[in-house]
Amino acid sequence: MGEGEAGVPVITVRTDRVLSMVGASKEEVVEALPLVGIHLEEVSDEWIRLEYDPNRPDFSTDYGVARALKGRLGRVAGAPGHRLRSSGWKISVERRVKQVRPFVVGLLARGLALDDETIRQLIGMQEDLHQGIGRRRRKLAIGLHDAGAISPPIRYDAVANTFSFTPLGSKSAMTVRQVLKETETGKRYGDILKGALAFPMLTDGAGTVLSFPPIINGSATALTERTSDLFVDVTGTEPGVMDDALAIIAEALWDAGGEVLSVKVEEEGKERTTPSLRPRRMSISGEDVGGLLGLNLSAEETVEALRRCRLDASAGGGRVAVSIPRYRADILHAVDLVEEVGYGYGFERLEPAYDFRYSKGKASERSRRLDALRRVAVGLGLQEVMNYSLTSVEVLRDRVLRSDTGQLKVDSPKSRLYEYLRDMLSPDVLRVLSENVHEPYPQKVFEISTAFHRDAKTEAGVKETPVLAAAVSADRATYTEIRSILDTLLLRSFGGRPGYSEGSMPFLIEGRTAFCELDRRPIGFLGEVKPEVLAGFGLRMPVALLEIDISSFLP
Amino acid sequence: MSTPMTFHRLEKKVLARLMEAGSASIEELAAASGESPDQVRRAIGWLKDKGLLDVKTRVERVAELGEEGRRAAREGLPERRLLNLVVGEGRLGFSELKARAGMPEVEFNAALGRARRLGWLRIDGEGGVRGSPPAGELPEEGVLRALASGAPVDPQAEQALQGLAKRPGYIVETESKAVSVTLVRRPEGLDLTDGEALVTPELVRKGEPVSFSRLDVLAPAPILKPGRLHPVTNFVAEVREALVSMGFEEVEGPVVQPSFWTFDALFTPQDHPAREMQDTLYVSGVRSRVGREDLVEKVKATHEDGWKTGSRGWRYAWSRKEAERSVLRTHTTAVSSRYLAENPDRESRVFCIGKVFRNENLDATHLFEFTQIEAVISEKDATARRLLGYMTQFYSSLGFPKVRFRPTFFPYTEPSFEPAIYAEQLGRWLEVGGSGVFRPEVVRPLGIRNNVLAWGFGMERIALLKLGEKDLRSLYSNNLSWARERPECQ
Repeated sequence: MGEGEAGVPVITVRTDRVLSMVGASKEEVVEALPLVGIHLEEVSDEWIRLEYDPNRPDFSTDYGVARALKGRLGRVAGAPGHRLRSSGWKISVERRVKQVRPFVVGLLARGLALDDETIRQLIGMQEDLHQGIGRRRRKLAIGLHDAGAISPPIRYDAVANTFSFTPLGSKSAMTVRQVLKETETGKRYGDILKGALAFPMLTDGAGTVLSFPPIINGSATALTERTSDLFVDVTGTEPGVMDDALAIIAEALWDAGGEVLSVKVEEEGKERTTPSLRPRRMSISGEDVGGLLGLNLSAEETVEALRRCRLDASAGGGRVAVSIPRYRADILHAVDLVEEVGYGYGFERLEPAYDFRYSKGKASERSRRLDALRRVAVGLGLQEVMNYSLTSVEVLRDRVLRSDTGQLKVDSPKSRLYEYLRDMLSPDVLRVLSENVHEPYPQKVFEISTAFHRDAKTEAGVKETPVLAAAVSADRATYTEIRSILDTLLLRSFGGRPGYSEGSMPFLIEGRTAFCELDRRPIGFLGEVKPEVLAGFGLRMPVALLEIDISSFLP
Repeated sequence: MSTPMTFHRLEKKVLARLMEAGSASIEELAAASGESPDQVRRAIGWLKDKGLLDVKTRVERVAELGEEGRRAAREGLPERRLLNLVVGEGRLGFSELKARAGMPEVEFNAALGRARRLGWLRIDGEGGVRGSPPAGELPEEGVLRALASGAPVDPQAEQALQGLAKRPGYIVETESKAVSVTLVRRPEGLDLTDGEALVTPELVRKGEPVSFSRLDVLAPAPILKPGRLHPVTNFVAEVREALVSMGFEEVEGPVVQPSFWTFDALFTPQDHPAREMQDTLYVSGVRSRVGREDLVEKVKATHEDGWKTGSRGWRYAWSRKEAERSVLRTHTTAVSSRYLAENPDRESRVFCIGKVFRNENLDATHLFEFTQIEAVISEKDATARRLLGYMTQFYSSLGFPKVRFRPTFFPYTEPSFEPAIYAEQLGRWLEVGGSGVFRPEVVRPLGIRNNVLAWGFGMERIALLKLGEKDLRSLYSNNLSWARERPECQ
């Protein structure tokens, strides 16, 4: 659990439009927004900027936002109801396209008045659906067309990359290959069609190109302010998610004043009517609500709460039957309906309960021991420092004269300064000293953290070892001093009596370096740092340091 | 009866000299006592406060040669140089003299004027300059010589000194203060012998009363540099104590986790943006095993169609390969989920404190690695209201009694809340992490029948608030003066 779990979508809506859609004052709207789960970013008399959770793609237009607010503010209750009539339009799916982008659904909407702001809202919704549930157009891509420019029936087929048409935003015809190589969306989304031999194309009865999904629409069917009838296509790879998207679009178009009409999709002789708007039915009980929220509501209160969330609900037989309009794609489970009850009842009214069960709390033995070690280190005059687990190859290897021993790194880090998982702490400890050359000496520091090593025997392929590193830097910083710090630390923290043998490390002076052992098992090293290494770090004072694996002292 | 005066070691030294000489300068007192002038001044200050001394400060003006003055001392006064030129030749044309003198116009005119007033030179009718035989030394020349050699200036030559001082660059005057100290009252019963300076082991062994010299107990002493714990360590300890006192038990787990435990077991779909490399750090060239084979099929089915959880699932084809990527955990929930899977029937209250990672650029408000604290409650009758109760109590015990909750969304909890604390320091609400009740899609495949509550937050933001800092990076910059000078209790 933590903040910033996922990218949060943002929309901007016109204040006057939303207020007139909801039939409420600005104050009412501002107060109600968080109560339907929408985060208010900024509000002025002209614009409202909103953040909505990615599980609610129906909030990607002002229509969707107003729909929820109207329920919350008691202007209407229950699911919006519509009758879906047929348009008589048909999309036929050719076998060839099944290999590359197998599915298509669509709808027709008549009698719309598309002013600038409506078009902006619809395009914003299209983009949010592409990025969110469409997973950057991979799962689904949406085309919005001027139906007046289309002669049905529509054909969904695959074509060669030499096929040419005039894409949106271009004045002349381009081949599919050119569109992929030269247009901005071709470059950005072309990867989705990587390796394809034939390319999806929606054309009409006259051979006009509607769309080259998921890349770009044709220019012939572009929307204008004079457009009153809209054809919408959704192509993709996941029929369920595509139906969700089309249902969300249908709901917004109804709210925009259009009449939504169905379109038939024909494939190998079988026909299907889209959009698929059949509500889903689920039921919940009083115990579901009480057990999860801790609220004791009657069936009637539960029904009322659900209807405020624009769901249809009725009580009977000790349960509440709920009918969920298709555009509410976020509801996966009865617990999601319980959450809706929470919204409808008002989460702001949900009181904290302090009915805690008694239990004995306890810090882990490991933290208890690490704290003891820290106390002893501080008593020896050492200052605790803390570094990130990720560092640069320059610090971890180059500056300490170490070679590539398979140190672990991460894929695609945002910065090369934090690319390698530390297999030891000493290089970063030297870096810390190098960033403090203007501070008074002597400087004595320690760090307790984790060292990471490749290890196929572990579950995640990485062994994590708790390590302690310490360094002293002063006019005189000797092996004897660091050795006495190490002996004291282990003896006085854990009663540990390590052994020593002559050792060598690339960055420590030969003959002034030792390995530290416990029960004849090597656990670390200590010694005086080579002057050339210190100079490489920009240090001007001698340094002696130690680093040991402390796992033997921990549970 | 008045208490006898007591004297500091330094005071005694100064008094000793003054009782001999009556009065003395600071320099004399310093020489006689073997102390530095600064130490002597401190002692004089104390003795004056005791009414024993009269201190007179006399300001003396000291004249030294300026640059022009030094030149004149070396080469002669300009009027002397003109005289010498003319006398050598007997007579020189005016312009000839001017050329040979090589002086700036103003200086030449002034020098010629002075030489004529002294009667050294005169100008004849034909524009020639004639000179008298060499003249004796002027008082000004005597002053120049004295100043150049560092000898005292004859007080009778004061007028000549004033005259030279008017010439630009000849004389630089500085002021020096001479302090003269006079003993005005002899202290009664004064013992001028020094007391002991140090308590030595020998004196302790003797165990007898000894008189000690007095120390200046008001003088400042140097500030030491003790070893300190890192502020994050201190804050972690504070949080740990708060959770332990609320009955929570600490659990731990590795930083690098199979994606299975970080994401899949938490019902985060495999194409969720949070799982992309753009947001999350994967370990290069390393793969995981899931560990709990018995859970794989259940988790897979839950993602695909909801399995037996009553959910409709995410409706996609789950891939084992994706679950086997090794990831730097993005939250400690990876540890909690595993603890729950290993203790499915137990009612428990546990917490985990550890480093978590996001693929972010480091800046004042973002860290790619930070400390997450997460508490998990697994109880048959746990409710969202109890979760709110736990959080309210927890944040209060950290010093934030005003807590509010907003409903929000996470893939693995339902309902979910975003807690915010009111930060008096900022005068506004501060969102602190996330919380919620684990979804059935999370707990059922792990074999858990209890309700599981969880809340977590990144600790650094609150630590920053408590430390009065603005930049998250300051916590891990390891600046030693910051680490050494910051008050421990904050």
